[in-house]
Amino acid sequence: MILPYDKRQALWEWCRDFLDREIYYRADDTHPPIPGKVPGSTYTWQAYTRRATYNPHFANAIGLLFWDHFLPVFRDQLFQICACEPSGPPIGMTIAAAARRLGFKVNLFLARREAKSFGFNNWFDGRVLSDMPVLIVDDTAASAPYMRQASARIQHKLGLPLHRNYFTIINKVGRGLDKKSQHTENYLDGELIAFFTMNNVCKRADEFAEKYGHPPKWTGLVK
Amino acid sequence: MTDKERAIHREWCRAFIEHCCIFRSPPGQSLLVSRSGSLSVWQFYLPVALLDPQFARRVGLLFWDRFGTEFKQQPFQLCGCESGGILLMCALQAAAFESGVAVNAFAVKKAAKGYGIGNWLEGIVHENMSVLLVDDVIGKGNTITAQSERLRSFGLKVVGVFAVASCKRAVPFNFGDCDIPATALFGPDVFTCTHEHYVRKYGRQPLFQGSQQ
Repeated sequence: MILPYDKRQALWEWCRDFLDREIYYRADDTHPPIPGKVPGSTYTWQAYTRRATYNPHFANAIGLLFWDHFLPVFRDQLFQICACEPSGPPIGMTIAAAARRLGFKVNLFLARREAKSFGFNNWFDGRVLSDMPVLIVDDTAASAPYMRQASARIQHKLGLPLHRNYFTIINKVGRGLDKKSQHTENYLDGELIAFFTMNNVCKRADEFAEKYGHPPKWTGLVK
Repeated sequence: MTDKERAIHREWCRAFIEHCCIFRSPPGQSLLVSRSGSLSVWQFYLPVALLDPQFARRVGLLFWDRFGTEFKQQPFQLCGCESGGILLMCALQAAAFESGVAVNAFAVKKAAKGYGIGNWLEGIVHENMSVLLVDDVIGKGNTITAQSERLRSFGLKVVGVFAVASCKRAVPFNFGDCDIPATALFGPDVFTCTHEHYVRKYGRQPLFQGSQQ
């Protein structure tokens, strides 16, 4: 732990509040349910995590909270970080920038969701260090097994060992959510460290309005 | 930043790209397929550089040395072109934050999301703030032109374009119809692109450092 207790709690609560207010689309009387990934399906809520991870204050806080947790682990056993595209890169970048400010270097590379369509047709971007365990990071651990796929490719294509942990900002588990399709239940072969679950935020607009005294409203232009 | 410091950072970044981030096909070996489908004897892989914390830091310092005064006079937000521009955008944002300035950033996608709200933009976008569009490499300019027009169609004002490298055109220049000033840290003439030229210049084989997997 590198942060004093009060500072850690304040950063965590600031991030939680930011996520709750800014990243969740919630259907209500004026916001219709939105199309889901499966044709014909709809979602009544969805997270847009990059609304947070592209915010400079949020990014800085996540970098600090990450090393607050992982620095003792890193000192014990060096690791490199693999961020899953497309949502992981800003998280990987802020972790690497925080490490540099704290006086050490962590190697970072990216795992693509699909192989590049030209050049080497590569699955990974960046410099990969041999023989060093890989900690996979992404924004959310949810129903799609992208981290699990990245971990399989890291082991098979790069021949690298995995770190015992995975890291995400949010683990999409909590009350009212079906457990059977979640990463932590079905996919991951290591321990997931996540700062937040769905118990930390409001899934429904009426729940949000009751908690904050006004309906949810995103800031900025949405296009 | 003094002229000497600027020159040191610039040369460090140029050398990093020159020695680590350009794949050059050796003579007689297979060529790489480029984005357009043609074959090329060399290709930039700038994520190798932008994922390096030292490179990212130095690019950030050089960027804010160039744009810091403009930002103070008229604050702008950064927009990264997916996917190469995202890492650069994050590096520039982190460098500003380290010097005490919080710069808003968002990304413009290659295609609108196929589900959910069907968005083109990721991040929080301040609708009344100018935008500086960033990408890792400017080639013919198709991406920049298309994305700047897209942002303008959303009512956003694009005031400039910045890239690490421009591999076709000397910098700075203006984008045709858009008339947007574009600049890059490096123009097309500062790198030794072919394998033969590299060997002749440095007396050794180039060592590409990116993942080929």
